[in-house]
This record gives sequence, C-alpha cells and structure tokens, in this order.
Amino acid sequence: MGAQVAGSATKGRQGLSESQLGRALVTPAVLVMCAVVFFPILATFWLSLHEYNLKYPYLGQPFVGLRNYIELLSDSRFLNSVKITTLFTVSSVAVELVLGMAIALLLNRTFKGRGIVRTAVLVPWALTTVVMARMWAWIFNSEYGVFNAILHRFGIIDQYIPWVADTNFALWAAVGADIWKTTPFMALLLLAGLQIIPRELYEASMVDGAGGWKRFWSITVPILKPTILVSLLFRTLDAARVFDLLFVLTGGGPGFATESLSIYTYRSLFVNLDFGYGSALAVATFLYVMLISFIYIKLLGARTER
Amino acid sequence: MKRIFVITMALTLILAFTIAGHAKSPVVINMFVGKDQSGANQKLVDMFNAAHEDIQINYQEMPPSTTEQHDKYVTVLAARDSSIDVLSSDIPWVPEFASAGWLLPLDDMFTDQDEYFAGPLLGTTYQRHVYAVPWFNNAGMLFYRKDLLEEAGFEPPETFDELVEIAQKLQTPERYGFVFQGMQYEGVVCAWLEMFWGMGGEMLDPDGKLIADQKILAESLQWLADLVHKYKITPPAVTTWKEAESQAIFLEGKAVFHRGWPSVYSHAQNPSTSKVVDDVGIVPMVHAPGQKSAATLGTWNLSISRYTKHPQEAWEVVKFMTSHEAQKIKALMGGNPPARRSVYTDAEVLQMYPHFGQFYDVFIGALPRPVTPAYPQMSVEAIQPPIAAVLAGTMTSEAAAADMLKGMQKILDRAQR
Repeated sequence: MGAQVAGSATKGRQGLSESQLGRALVTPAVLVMCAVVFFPILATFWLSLHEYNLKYPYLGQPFVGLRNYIELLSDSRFLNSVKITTLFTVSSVAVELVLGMAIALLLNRTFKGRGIVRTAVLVPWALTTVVMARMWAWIFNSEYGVFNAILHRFGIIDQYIPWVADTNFALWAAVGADIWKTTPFMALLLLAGLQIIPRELYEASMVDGAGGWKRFWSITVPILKPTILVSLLFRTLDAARVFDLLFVLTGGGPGFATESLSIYTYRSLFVNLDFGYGSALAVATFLYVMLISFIYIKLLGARTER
Repeated sequence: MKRIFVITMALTLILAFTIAGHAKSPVVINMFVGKDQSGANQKLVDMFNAAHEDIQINYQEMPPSTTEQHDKYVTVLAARDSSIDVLSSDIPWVPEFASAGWLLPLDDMFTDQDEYFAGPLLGTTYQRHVYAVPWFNNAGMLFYRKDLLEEAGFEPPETFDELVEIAQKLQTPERYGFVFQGMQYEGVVCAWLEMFWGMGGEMLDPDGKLIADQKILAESLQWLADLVHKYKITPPAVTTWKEAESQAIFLEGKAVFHRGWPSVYSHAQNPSTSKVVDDVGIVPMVHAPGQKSAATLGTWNLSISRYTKHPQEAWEVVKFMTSHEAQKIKALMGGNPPARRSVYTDAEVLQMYPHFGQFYDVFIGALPRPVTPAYPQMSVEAIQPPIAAVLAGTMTSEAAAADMLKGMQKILDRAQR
C-alpha cells in the first residue's frame, strides 16, 4: 500500500491527481460518517414528520408534516424541559468555569507534590457518571445522607431535607453533583492553556509594577481566551444533553422538576412509545445543541481571526 | 492405542447422548418476573420443572424497579423478539401492551375467571379480550392505630369526615393525623383515585370515553388540599413522600392513619422495623356518605407474549403459576395476597395471616386505574401535575379539576385521531 501511494504521488498525472487521491482516501471516512451520523439524523427527522405511536398501531404511520413540531410549541412539558436544561447548563458551566480556573491557576504553580495533586484532582472526572450519581443520591439521602448530617451538625438546618425529592432543591442538587464531577475536566483544559503562556510576560509586567489581579486580567485571560471558549463549548454541549446524571439521581422528578430535554425525549419514546413525537423532541434537542455551538463558534471565530 | 480407544469411546458416547438429548429436548419457556426476595418464585419454578419433562422454565428475574421492568419489556416486545414467553405485568401495562399487539389473548384458555376478584379482571380485559391472569393482589387500604382509637373510644372511620375528626382529636405535635404518598409520581394518583371513587366519581365508560364529573374531580382535589391546608392533619412535607417515607413515619408510631399497600402490614408486625407491632388495624379507604369504599389496584399478572413460539407450553406455565396451590405457596412464603378468592378461605393461609380476611374486604371493592393504553401518559401529564399543585397550595381545586379534565381529554384524543 505504502509503495503504491508513494508511486502514484511521484508519477503525478499518470495516476490520480493529488486532489483525486485525497478524495479517494477520504471516501471511506465519509461513508462511515454517513452511515453512523447523517443517516440516523435524517431518519429521525423523517420519522418526526409522521404519526407513529406503538401503542396505537391502528393509527398507522401517516405523514403529518410539521404537526408534531407545532404541538411542541404549545406543550408545557417541552417548554419546561427547555427551561430546566438551560438552567442546568448555564449554572453548572458558569460555576465550573470559575472553580476550574481557580484550580488550574493553583496547579500551574510549582509546589511539592504537584504531580500527585494533579492526578488526584482528576478522580471525580474519571468516575462513571452512573456510579457517581448513585453516590450523590446517597449523599443527599433524606435519612442517612452525609450532606444532611453535616448541615445539621453545624446547625444550618434543624431537620433533614429530602434534597432530591423536593421540587425546590432537586435541580440544584443535580447541578452540585455535576459541578463536582466536571470541574476537573475544565481545570485540566485550562491548565493546558496556562502552560503555554511564557513566564517572561509575567516577569516583564512585574517589573512594570502590575499586581496579581492586573496580571490575571491583562495577560492570563486574553491569552487564555481561545482555550476558555473551547472548554466552555465542550462543557456546554455536554451539559445541554444531560441525561445519565439526572436519570439516576432524580429520574427527572419530582414531577418535571429535573426533566431535561434528553430525559423528556427518552420518556416520550420509551414510556409513551410515541416515536413520531419523540423524534420531533430529539430533533428539537439537536437544534438546541446546534444553536449553542453556533453561538460559540461565532464567538470563537471572531477571536481567532483577530 | 489405548488412548485412542478411550477417546473414540468418549466421543461416541457424547454423540449418542447429544442425539438422544436432541430427540427429546424439552421446550424451554423463558419467564420474566420482577425481583422476588421471598424465594417463592424459584420454588414454584423448581416444582414445575421437576414435574414436567417436556417443558422447562428458564426463570429470569428483572430489576426491582417497576419503571425499569416496563422499559425493558417495551424494548424486547417492540422488536418482536421471541426471547420472552411469559412475563409478569403490572396492571396498567395490560391495556398498553395489548393495544400495541404484544400480548396473546387468553380468552380460550383462561376459563375460570369467576374464581378471581372483579377489579383485576376489569384491568386485564381490554376491548373484550382478556390478556393476563391475575397472579397476586395489591391494593391501597387504610391502616390505623388500633391502640389509640380504642383508648379514645373511636370506631375505625368509614367516611371522610370521620377520618378527619378522629385524626384531629388524636394527633399531637409528635404525631401526624394522616400520612400518605404525596410526591408527584404514580403513587399520589393511586391515593387520590381512592378519594375520587369514594365520592362516587367515575373516569371512563366501558368504551373508553372520558365521563369524569368535573364537580367530583374538584371536590376530591379540594379534600386532598384541605388535609394539608385546612384540617392540618397532614404536614406539607407530604409532597416529598413516596411509600418508604410515609410507611417509616407510621411504623415509628408518628401517625394515626396511613394509606398504604398490603406489605405495610408485614413490616408493621416485624419488631426490628416497627414500634407499632400488634397495634395496627386495617379498613378499606374511607368514602363519602352514601358511597362505597374504593381501593386502587396494583395487581401483578402473568401474560404471554404474542411473539412466543410455544403458546401452548407458555399457557401450561401460566396455568401452573396461577393455580390455587401456587398462589398459596406465594402467600405463605412471600406474604403476597393471592389473586384467587379460594385461597382466602384456606385454613393454613388464614392461620399464618389472619389479616388476609380484612384484605379480602378491601379487594372486593378494588378497581383498576383507567383501563386505556393512554393511561400512563394521562397519569404523568394530566393527573399528577394538578394534584401536586393543589397539595402545594398553588392552584385552586376548581382550576386544577378543569386542567385535569382538559389534559386527559387531549391525550385520549391523540389515541383516536
């Protein structure tokens, strides 16, 4: 193979041209992408234009145009899930950015045992989400939970609170668990960005009399901006599709208090067995995530062209 | 040489056994059932397998969570997979799976229906065909503190007003009047339906048309809200309780009345989990004057998959599992209230569980949740949210009843268009 490729490249016109060769080499990858990405997306979209409920087989599978999408707009459960997803995403990613930055700055310093600390910080991120969600379910448990025990001991609460069963707290309990798990990921990405900032810049600014705060905002943040945007993009997309954490920790409840877009989609498909409407929900989730990436990439593009 | 001889002999023997085994290989029936901690199911399976050479049960336990079981069955059955022959079904699944065409109608085989209670049969019959045989009963009932009521000279309550009156008299700062499951989930619908039915409410006619009376809907929701906000016999925290929480409070001796499922009684009689051993009485849920008590059924049933390759053999399994003898073993070993009425007069069962007599009175009036494939969605989207809103005090009972009616109709319409 190697010889052939080299041969055709040197022979030039006789074989494939460079662009033809490029296309030929890319084709398998494109085919695979079509099979595993574009085809399912299009199939889901096609299904979302139909009535198709496994529980009502006598209705058949008629084409209904955009009816499912029109119904989405007046579906309070859908609008609620968009609200929940947005609240979850914005609050968890915001806190993760601040905490992640603090940890990254700390880890960027030289101190004894830095290697061990860097590894240790990563442990929450390395845990399987389902395992970690189960663990937090125990932490938040209304009778034996350590979270209640600590708050009680310090006199902050006088009665144990069923955190994940209470409409007012369940979402914030989930946000807390998500922050614990994914802050290390944020910190890791930011740390990588920090390490390419030349030490001389800081030294020069110190000579000029800039304080720590000033150095952070005038050197660290501007240089780190592309890294920050990339890590924000990663985390936001992940958080916007949140499923496993909520599924295990709260099951989307109580009521619809933690029902994210992904959870509602799942329930529509596998509990209501409504494949037409469920597909419309899946496409809506896809568009929601696309919109976020579009906004970020616009921001990113503007930054890097500078 | 000797070695070759031995090997040849061994191979011949293996071949011979394989052929012999193949000729008489029994039909394997895959039976899927939710987790059973009593060991009764395993014992029944062993009994069946020992008695049958031509049919063998391959017993598979499902996760304890009802939701997880539901989703697993849906995945397998929607794929028309034949790997499930017999499955245990929660009563609301029967119309759902039957409508989807996943269950075998049992009309010709299930002929001794008059041996069973009326309610479960209503729930396992969809559009005039029966799709499941009731296996063991489960229905909501009212548990009360015998000791407290006797001491104060009260008879157990029969009407809503009596319950409120006794609860108000007997509650103390350390003891609630009435506890139940008030979280926004299926359990609160079960509890509320008993009140709605007990006020004379009806949900669907036999053809599946919504006939609920908005006034009775509003009254039942109002009573539920009044428990918390007016009579104050139930604390606001009820909106965070499922079965485990309300039961724990009652078993701690911190409630006069508790609405719960039959298993509460065995926990109450267990000194390691209960402070109210021998102090618990059972009556059917209270009702309005002139009406009857109702109980929401949670019966578990056995169904046969439409995609089974061995319907005859699968029926043999179902027939055995739901026989008097088998239901008796499940009752004795697992404390599961039987679905067959005859088991309630069995001396051995009554001696071990004298309270089954009271269960019987409850099951006579027990009803299935609305029998329609649309029910699960109705419950989640149309019934639970208004109940949660009135319990939290954020919505009037009239507005909630109107919402509920509109929501249920919308979901039923989707099944018809």
